Amino acid sequence: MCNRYHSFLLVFFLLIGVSCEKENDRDPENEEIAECGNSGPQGTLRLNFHANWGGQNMALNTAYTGAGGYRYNIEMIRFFLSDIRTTDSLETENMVKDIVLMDYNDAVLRIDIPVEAGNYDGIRFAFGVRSDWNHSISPADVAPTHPLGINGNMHWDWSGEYIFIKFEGKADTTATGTGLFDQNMQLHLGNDTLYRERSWTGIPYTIADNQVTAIDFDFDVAAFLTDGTNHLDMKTQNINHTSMSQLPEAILFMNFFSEAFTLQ
Amino acid sequence: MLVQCTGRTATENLEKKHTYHLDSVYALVLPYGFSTPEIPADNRLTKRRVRLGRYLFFDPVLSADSTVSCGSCHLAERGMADTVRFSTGVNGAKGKRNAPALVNMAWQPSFMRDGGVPTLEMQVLSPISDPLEMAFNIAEASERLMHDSFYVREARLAYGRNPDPYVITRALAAYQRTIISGASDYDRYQKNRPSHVLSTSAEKGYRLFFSHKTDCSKCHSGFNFTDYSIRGNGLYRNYRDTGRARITFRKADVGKFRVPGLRNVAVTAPYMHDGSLQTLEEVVEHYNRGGQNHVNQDSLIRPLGLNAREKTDLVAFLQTLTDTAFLQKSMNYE
Repeated sequence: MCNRYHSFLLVFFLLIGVSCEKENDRDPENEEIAECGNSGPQGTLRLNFHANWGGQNMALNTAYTGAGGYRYNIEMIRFFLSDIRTTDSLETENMVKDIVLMDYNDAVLRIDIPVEAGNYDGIRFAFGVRSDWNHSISPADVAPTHPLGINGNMHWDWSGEYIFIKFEGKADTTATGTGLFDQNMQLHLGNDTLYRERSWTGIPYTIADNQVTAIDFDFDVAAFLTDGTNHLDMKTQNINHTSMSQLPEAILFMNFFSEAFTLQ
Repeated sequence: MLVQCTGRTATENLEKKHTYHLDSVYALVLPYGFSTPEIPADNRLTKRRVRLGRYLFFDPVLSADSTVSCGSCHLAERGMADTVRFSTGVNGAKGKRNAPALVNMAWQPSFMRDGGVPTLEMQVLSPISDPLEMAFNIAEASERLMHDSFYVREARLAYGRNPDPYVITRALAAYQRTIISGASDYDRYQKNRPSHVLSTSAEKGYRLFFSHKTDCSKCHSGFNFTDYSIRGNGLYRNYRDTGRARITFRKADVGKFRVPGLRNVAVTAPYMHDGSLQTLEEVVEHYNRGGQNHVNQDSLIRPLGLNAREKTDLVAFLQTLTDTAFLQKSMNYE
């Protein structure tokens, strides 16, 4: 009963979040619950995520050499970034955005978040969908354009859970690396055990009224498949829908993936 | 009303708390011995909502090629179950689990054979998007409904909005909560034990069912004949379908499935999560044998030592759970 009550409240507040978006004519993809009650001076915290492939510029549908000496052609990187929080020197945390669906199709992924003006010392966020949201929210409960909505196509309806990341493309796994890109890669990963949190502290920054403050991150897509020692073999581990037998590889990928993000 | 009026209404208290007009309230009529189900606050039952859900349930409009409806695989005359092991979806695709009987869903705490989906509203999404069932997308289904003036009008009247995914899931869930069956010979026997209702064999089967000798009622308990738990019944030594483990990834959950209710069980063959047993006699024989000794088999599954007469009696009792009036009334809704 208590869980159902909490679930109802959660969906209620998400819907309220959507209604705020409508009232203010804002972009639903860049809104969150926390803004609704924010009335003091505020600026914008801009999070930039710069993609690269082993330090080179990165683009979709372009061939790169990576883990195992294979060549890769990445077609989709879509994932949830959630529970974004600012921290200050007193280690006080404030959630400034509940969840964003990141769909990589340009060199830089950018999120603009309204944040109360002040001095901050760090930032933290997670990859995936928080467990309580993951099991209580349905894509039909929120607006189609909401990150958790229908348009994202990130829900496993048969289990009532969200897919945390879709990583798709093709690989050339021939020994010489000169073959065709005929090895499909389809990694659709999601499960509470795959939720990964990252935090950075000791990075002082100021949010000033009506000003934009940017924090830049790099993410190395080549590192999604390897940490330099271990790697996922796209010849044999190229399809993963987070089944029971595929969970070890899914965990490995999510570990690589979350560690592939670094502060510039 | 779907069933004979034998008890109180679940909406008696709700009417006092909620502001929607009394005329629109769907009075859920509960059979004798049934508890009041918990109805979600955001999907209170009204006549329009239930009616909209019923139309959607039997309309193939929600499938990719408009050939398969919920009712295609959940047949009213079969207690809202299918007659085949695996139902046929769009383009002749075959499912991988036997279609369950959609009866008394208002009391069910989790959905799907593995219990992985927490609400009926959420469960509705699964058959629509499953490529082996309706193979569609609820957003596209919603767009299709927007071209149908009937659905647009009914959705607005029922939920105050267009037939979007929210409305589709709510309406289908609302309708399913009204599919209630509880007027079988067994129920009449329970109410005042008239001697003529159950045959001698069925009465012996009744006693066996509720006895420690079989322990059937340890899992198939309550007015819906299920405790809603997830258990292993030892159907196989090696499971092709991992069952609950598909959700939890725990080896200890391999081969475990939600205990199904037994209402109208005589007309819902075939049985088990994969429809592998064709008759009630085969089901009783499986339990009498004590399962296949799977490592996760429930401790209650053990050789029962039933003789032929006792097995016949058990089947005779299970046949008394058929609610003939329900089957006939349900067919009228199609």
